[in-house]
Amino acid sequence: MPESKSSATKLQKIVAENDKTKERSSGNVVLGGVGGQGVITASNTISFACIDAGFDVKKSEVHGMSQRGGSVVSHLRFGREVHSVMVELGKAEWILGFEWEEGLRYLGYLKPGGVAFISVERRIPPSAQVDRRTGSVMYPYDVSPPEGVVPIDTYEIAGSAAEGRPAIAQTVLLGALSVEMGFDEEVWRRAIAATVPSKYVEDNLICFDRGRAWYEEIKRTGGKSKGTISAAYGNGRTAGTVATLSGHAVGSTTGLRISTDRGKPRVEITRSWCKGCNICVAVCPERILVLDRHEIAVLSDPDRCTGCGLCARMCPDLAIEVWLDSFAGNGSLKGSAAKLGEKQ
Amino acid sequence: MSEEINQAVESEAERSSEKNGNGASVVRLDTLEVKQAPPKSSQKVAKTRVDLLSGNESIALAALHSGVGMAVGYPGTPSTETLEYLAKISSDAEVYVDWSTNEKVALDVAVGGSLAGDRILVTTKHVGLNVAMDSLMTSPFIGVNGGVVILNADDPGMHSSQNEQDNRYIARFAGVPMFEPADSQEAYEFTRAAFELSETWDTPVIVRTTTRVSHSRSRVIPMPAQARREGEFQRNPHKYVMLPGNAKARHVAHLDRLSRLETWAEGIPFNREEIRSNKIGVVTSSISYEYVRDILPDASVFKLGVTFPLPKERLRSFAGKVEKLLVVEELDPFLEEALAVFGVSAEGKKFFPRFGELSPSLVREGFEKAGILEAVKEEVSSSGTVPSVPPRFPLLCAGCSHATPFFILKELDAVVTGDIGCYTLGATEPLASMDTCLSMGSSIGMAVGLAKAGSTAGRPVVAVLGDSTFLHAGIPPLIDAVHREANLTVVILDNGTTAMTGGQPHPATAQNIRGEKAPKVDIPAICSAAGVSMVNIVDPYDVGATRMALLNAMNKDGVSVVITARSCVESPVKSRGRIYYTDSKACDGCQLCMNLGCPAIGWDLSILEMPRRVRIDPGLCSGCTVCAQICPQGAILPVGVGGTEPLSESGEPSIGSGKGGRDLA
Repeated sequence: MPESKSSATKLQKIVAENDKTKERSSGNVVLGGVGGQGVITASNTISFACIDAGFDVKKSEVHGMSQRGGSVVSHLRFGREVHSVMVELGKAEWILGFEWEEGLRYLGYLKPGGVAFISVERRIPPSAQVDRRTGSVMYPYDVSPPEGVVPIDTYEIAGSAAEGRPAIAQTVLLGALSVEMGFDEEVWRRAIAATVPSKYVEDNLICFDRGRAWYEEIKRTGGKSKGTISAAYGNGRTAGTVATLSGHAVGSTTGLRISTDRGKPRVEITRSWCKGCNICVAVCPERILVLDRHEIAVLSDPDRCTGCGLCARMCPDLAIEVWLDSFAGNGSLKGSAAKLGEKQ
Repeated sequence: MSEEINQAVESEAERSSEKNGNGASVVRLDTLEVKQAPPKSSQKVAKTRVDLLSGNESIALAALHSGVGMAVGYPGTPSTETLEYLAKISSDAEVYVDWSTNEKVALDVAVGGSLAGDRILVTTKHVGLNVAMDSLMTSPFIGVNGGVVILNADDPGMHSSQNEQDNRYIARFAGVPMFEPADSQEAYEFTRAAFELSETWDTPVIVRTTTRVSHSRSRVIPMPAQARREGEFQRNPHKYVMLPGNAKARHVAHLDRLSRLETWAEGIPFNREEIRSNKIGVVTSSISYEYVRDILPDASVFKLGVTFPLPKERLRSFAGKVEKLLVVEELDPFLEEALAVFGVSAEGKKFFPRFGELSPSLVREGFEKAGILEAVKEEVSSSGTVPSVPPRFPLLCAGCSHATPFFILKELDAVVTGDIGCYTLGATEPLASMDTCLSMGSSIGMAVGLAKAGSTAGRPVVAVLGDSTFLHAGIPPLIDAVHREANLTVVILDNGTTAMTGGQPHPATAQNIRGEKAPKVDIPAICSAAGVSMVNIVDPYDVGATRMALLNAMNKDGVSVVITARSCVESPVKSRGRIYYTDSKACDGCQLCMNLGCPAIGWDLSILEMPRRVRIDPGLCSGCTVCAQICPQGAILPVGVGGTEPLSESGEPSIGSGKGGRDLA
């Protein structure tokens, strides 16, 4: 859990810093998220607001391989005259993260004193769940947010307006951003009405208002009120997940992995009983069983065995047994009770 | 979700809504009036409507305003949205817009259409132009009647491509003028100019964009629109029939035109000399210009809008005005080499990378290396503790009909030659069952090679390609395979759309780009007509049937074809069935289902037991049933059918988007 007090003071500093620059002449925003989260729509809304406020705007989008589930990033720059459409590293006043990991990904673009509003919504990709033996999750769970990061539980703050529709809840981010960017509130409302499909405008405006109110409250109280950063960070569902994981977590130095190693499974193949039918080779989820040159099943990469026991269960000749080291860690096998393939 | 922000000008909107009799709103009128005149453009009046258009949309709008009569192309990132946008802002009566079977066909159609008198737009990505090269090389010999403009969209950085070739060389190779816009306004203006130029000089003209130009949005102030060009075909065999005798004369004419174009390039407004400091001069074009202006605002810049042919004398004169001359360009040293030929010494690739996309940061680094900017110990990253985050890879969608064939091919241990499309992701973990991917349609040809030469150690050879790719470039190699009696199986993943680029119709869908009914080409009949004796069609959502179909085909001598027919889950319509969940009591954590690579399937982190039990994200599940079919425990069940269902929405979902995008009921 991040230390709530120091985050709060950090935020106070940021808030004070940003109040100085009420009159904006230019700005850079980087938006990051996962495909389907509404990143492009949000960047359209911001562009619209900037134009309405009398600025020139350029923005870039990434299309192509970023299908559902891939990273989506959009750069947006406004000013009296804008050249590059890309924001330089360390030059963004604001970052909007629609997903926790994706928000952290673009922090390199944040300017000293800038603010990154990052939703604590988590989408853990399949590529983070590949170490099946240990069950480690490759996801930045226990990263305490660096300076300038304002974690927001968008779904919680949006409440009823986005029930069952996390994408709409992300408009909370725009509400918070609007406080920092400082255009007239009406400019933002017009921009949302113009860029969001008409049937969702009302709910989006409610989320916008709630995000705006939430962040104004934080600014007023310096993060000490009910809706503090720590509360947002450690709220509801997300906190539950973190707690659950931490229950048996061995946090590595990178802070990315949550290891739950439970020792190595052991596979015994009785060679004389194996007739090389290939069934175990076909069913092994890890694809680590192969037939050797005598057409007998062998384990090609024992380190990757998760001990699921599917091969033992499927073997028509009962030639395979899978043993698990005891969870208790006393080193001894639990005997037949731990032999998989003998499900109750 | 609407991807467009404010659209075309008022007149534009009125025009198209008038002509689109079906009442569908084609153009949104969300435009705004500018309150302060932005300082950018000179011809702007106080009250102008502002459009924030992408480069692609600007080119489409420019084509429409140039009175284009026909627009054709093949989908390819980052060029795809151009034709889609043009179809949206125009009516069928105004412009004939549609996808061609491939880029060569598109260019041939364009040259023919031009001879019939219309102005024509062709759109293609960089590697797409390779497919059209045969026609492109000779097209300047034939010339044009109505103007022909080819949008060529390069993809430096390979956001969605198999290579990052620099197509500026193609302009020089073919001797075709090339415009390079830096933003949407230029994309609009240059395309308008390109049509004029094409007719003036009797040659096709290329407008080259890059991903950043194609997919960036900035304001566009349009110019008055022209009416559709009128003309008709007139016989001129000496110019139109490229027999050697005719072609010889045309080559001479072509070379003569090139030398006159070089003179023309010296005087055009598209190349701009911006004199500031006399210390540093930078020659640049396209998006690189914008980076240079941001990073070195005081440098003198020679901004090229036309990168072929180059204005030799003006570049020489510019070089004489500055003490040090640098070239900032993406990819190859095209301009740098040209300057060397002109006898101008300039440095570029010594400081700027020759691969990938440039960025403001890379341009700054380059200037630092060149000693022009002092390497500032940057205040980059405020706290200095930016966490490192694992990459997030692209995935096949939940319920993708391509997953099953790859899942089975992996089990059957085939040598799989792949192709270009969504299904190229079949090469990535956990499906990991594709061995090669070269270019559009190459899967079948490569499979012939693998089957006929050398050895595959007894492993069967299977070529896998999509329906659109098959029609694009898969038919000639299929004929070749039959004629060679190659032992191979061709799997056509028929999802009824060009999915990778966002779901465009193709000749085997019964639709055109405007969503109207169109004749449907019969893929199985094509295979049979090519001489394939075994053509089986199977539903890839039926795992057992798909496995049997693949086994039977692979056991057959000669060429066999398996067509896995199931429409794409995402386009043209999202298909959703009854969703599934994992019975946490029955799941034993074997994770076989996770080998499908379905993004809806992940670990249930609320269960502490190892190995990890599996949870299906109800917000992502499409109800395809494939995971339920392969689960050895029968632990995957439709929602509402017995078992131990996961916690409700109000409870504590454990992984993924969790909150459930849809109602479970």
